Formats: sequence, structure tokens, C-alpha cells
Amino acid sequence: MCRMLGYIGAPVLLEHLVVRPDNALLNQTTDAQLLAMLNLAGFGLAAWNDDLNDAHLPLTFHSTNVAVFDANLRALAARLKVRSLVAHLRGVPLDGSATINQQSLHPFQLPGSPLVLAHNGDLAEFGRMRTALWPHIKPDVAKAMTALTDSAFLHALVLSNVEDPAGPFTADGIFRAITAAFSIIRRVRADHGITRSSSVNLVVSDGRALVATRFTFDFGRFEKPPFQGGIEFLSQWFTIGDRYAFADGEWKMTGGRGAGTLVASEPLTRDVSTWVEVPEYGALLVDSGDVPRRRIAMIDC
Amino acid sequence: MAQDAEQALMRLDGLSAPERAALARLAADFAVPAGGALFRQHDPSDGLYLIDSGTVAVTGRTPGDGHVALAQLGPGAMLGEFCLLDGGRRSADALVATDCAGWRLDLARFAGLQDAGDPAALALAAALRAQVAARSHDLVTALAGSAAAAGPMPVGVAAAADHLAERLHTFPGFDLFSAVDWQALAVAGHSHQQPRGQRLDGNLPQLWIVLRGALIWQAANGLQLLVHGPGALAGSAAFVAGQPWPAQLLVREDAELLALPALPDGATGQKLARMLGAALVRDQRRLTRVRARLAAMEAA
Repeated sequence: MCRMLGYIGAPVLLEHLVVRPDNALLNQTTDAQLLAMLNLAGFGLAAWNDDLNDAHLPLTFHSTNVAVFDANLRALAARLKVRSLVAHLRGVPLDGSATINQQSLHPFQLPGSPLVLAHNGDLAEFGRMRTALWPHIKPDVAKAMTALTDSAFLHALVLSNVEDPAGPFTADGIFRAITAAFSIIRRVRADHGITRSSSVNLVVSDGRALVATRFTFDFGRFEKPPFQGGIEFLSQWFTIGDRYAFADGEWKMTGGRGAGTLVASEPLTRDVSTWVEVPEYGALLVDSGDVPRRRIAMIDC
Repeated sequence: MAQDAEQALMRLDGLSAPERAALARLAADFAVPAGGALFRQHDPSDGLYLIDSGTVAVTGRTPGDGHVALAQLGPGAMLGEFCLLDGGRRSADALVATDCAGWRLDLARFAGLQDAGDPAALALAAALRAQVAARSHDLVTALAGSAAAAGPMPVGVAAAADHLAERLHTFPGFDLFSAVDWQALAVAGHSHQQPRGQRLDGNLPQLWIVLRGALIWQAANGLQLLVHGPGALAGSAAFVAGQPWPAQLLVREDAELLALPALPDGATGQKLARMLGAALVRDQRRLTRVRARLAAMEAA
């Protein structure tokens, strides 16, 4: 299981999101508040900043270092301002079953496409599904894939269901591609008799539009304890405002009608008072702008 | 002063005079001047407050660092009762508008008495469960609009204690169950396997324990209110209040369930009652966040 965040809004120093708050993403490497798991398998980010060359494409950073100890990441975070961000902390079972390499780190991006995807969760028995999913992935997308994980396939399926992987994108268009991908996965699971609970919380963005899902296939369907999940759905929270900053002694979004949207697997502060949840089986859709368009959509597949 | 605290407790139904007197002896005086706070959202909890004089504004924080007024409380009111049921952090700011005084029932002392099975503490917990259930009903009514028609109640079969233990023993609360408890639970409940889409709410609300799969509460307007997965107690507020919610309880994922028409007697019932209190508060907190989300999206 993993932790992740997405941000669109006024430029903010990267360390204000991933380093400084008391439950910043890096602190969730070993001390996530809403997940009893270590997230040691690396870190990745895709960041947009209007001063970058080819500003519509993200600056990406991926490292298999344990994120909380990654000095390069901290140095970068202290200098880089971002107007959009998708960041991901990878957690895998501590039994040696997962491959740890740079290609498997989120967020996933393919050359020439600004659309990136980060995933929190897993697709149960994915090895049985992989062959059946290949026909649903467009040849150009399949050719560019460098990883064979469930999350990499989710990204490929989403890219295969957008009009043009090079964009431009709207939140509605991204959402339609995600639900199309989920429908394919639903059918393949049914064809293979797979009914085990499988979470697909996603953050998908091109730096201008962002969609954050909170969805689980067959939530609560487990064969026997111990359960990966249970009473509660895998979490996905968000907050909105003008700017994420340290004010009045705490890190928070200020300015309720602001252009900024911050979504994360769990609030970046232990005090969750100014955060709310994306509904289970739902998604937050954001089109950025001075007056952003935000809405909640339910996922029906 | 203890006599006054006893009178303040009279607004809670279900407490006998001796129980009120016993609880009043636990109460300590408090006084906070205008401009102060009894507590702030996310503070660790210290107990239940009974207001004798003054006024307190209860507000909640919203995304964007806004505040929404939740209630204005005066003499005779109580606040902070969630913590006696779940021990959790404060869910709102309680800001003193005019000099405020009254009594505080200490959480740690209450919890000790409840652990010891003290009748007065158990009675207070039951009264607070009823109060939270009523509040949840009001909030769901505000969120969901008009009442939905009650659906038919499915018929269940007897549950097997071994199966219940296998499904539930890892979940909080159930991890304290003994073989005797599992047996008592099996005798008291009826097990069900229900397909997705089945409606479960009815005129005589039951308490549903989810063994596998998931249930959702959904308003007539389509708003999804709560989702309950394995280990959850679903329908707790309707069960405690004895009246249907103005919403539908639906099977969201093919489910194995245990339906309890009433809590078992004895120690098993007491354990479930503690879990029920925590479930009521958890559901109320989640409903409050649903309201906050709707408000934030509307404001933005």
C-alpha cells in the first residue's frame, strides 16, 4: 500500500507539501496516520512550474531511496516551487515479493504525454489478469510501457481511453477514461472469477486538470483474516483554499474560495479539522483556473 | 454544587435518581471567562461538560480555514459527550461567548467506572447513545430530505459461533470476545447472505454486523451517507432510536451479515454496547464530514 498527494493551485514550495507539515508525505514513510504500514519502496513526483522548459510536461523525479532519508529530494524540495504536483510514496509487502526498481515508481508518465497517474492500493491476483488486459491497451501505449505492475497497467489503460495521450485534457475527459479503465478491469475480474477486495485510489493529472478517485472493487470481500482493509475504505482526503502555508501556528489551506486544491491519501497534518473526504466509490474532479471548477462524481462500474 | 450537577443531568432520559446522584459526585466545577474555550477541535478529550451559566458557541472548521456555526448552547446544555463513548478527540470548537461555569464529568474516571460495570456509568453511556442517535437522525434528515419508504426485512438463519469468530476476531472490539461471547452472539443473531442491491432498512431497525462485503446508507436524493465494511456495526443510530432513518440501507457488495434484533444479555451485551457507542460516534463524525464536504463544494 502507498501514500500519495495531488495539488493544483498557486505556486507553493515543494517542501511545504512533502517535508514540513507534521504529517507531510515524507513523514508517512514510517509514520502514516491512517495506514499501519511502512512505505519504504521509493518516492516519485511529477511537478509543473510555468518557468520550466516545455512547461506543459512535468518535471519528474523518481528514487528507490527510502524517501525520508533522501537528501537529494529534500534539497530539491527546498528550492522548487510548483503550481501542480502529483507525488507518491511507494509501500509494498515486506516479504520480498515486489520488485523494487525505478520503473515501478509512481507517478507513471509516458514520453510526450503530460498525463501522469499515481495509485494507492492493489489489484488482487493481477498476474492472472495481465494477459487479458493487453488487448485493451493501445499499441503506442503498450510500446512505451516500462513496467508491468498493476499500477503501470492502470496508467496504460487510462491513456488508452483518452482521445489523445498528448492532450489537452479536462477533468471530465480524464474521469471518463478512468471509468472506462475500471469497467475493463471489472469485466476481466469477472471473467477470471476474482472477487477479492482491490483498491484503486488514484490521482491522475496533466497539471491543469486533476481527478482523484476513491474506489475499491468488491470492497470488503475477503476470504479470511487478516484483512487488508475492513471497517473503513482506503482513505482519500482533500482541502481547498488560496494557498497551503504555515499560518496561526499550523499548516493549512487559507482562503476558502481560493483556486487551490490539495488531495492526499491522508491529511498532511495530524489535525484533520480543515480536511474532508472524497466519498467512497467517488471521485474529486478539478479543472484549474482563477475560478476552478470542482465537483464530486460517483463511479458506477 | 453536586446537587446542581444532578439537576443538570435530569435532561438526559433514562437515568434514575440514584444514578444521577452517583454521577454528580464525579462532577468537578469549571469556570471559563468570555473569550476562552472549553476545548478546540482536535484537542484530546477530557470529559463531558454540563453548562450551568453563560453561553458557548460551538463551531466547526471547514476547508479553506473557514468556520461554520453549529450550535449556541446555554444553561442546562451539555457538550463533549462523544468522548465518553469513543474516547476520541474533540470534533468542534467550543468557544465561550459569555462567562461560563458548570460541571465537567471526567473522562478517565468515567471510563474506569464503565470498565468496572458501574450501573450509573452504564446508564449514562446508554443515555448518551440515545442522544447521539437522535442527533444523527436529525443530521441525516437535513442531508437526505424526506423520509424513504421502509423496505421489506429479509429472513435470516441461525449463525454459527465458529464462523462469526473466524470472520470477526481481528476487528477492534471483537478482538476482546471470548468463546462464550461468540456463542451468545450466535444465539442472539440471524445470519444472512445478501446480494448487491438488497434493501435492509425496515420498520423495526436491527443492528447489522458486517462479516463480509459492504453496506451503504443512501439518501432518497442519491447522496451516499455512510459505507460499512467488514467488522462494522451498521444501522446503529436507527437501532438505538428504534425508528427508521430517512434513508435506505443497501447491500453495496455481496455480503455476509449478522442481524441482531436486540443486544444479548450480560457481558456480551455490555461489550457490544461499548462498540455500539463508538460506532454511533464514528458514524456521526463521518456524517459531519459529509456535511462539511457539501458546504465546501457549494462555497467554492
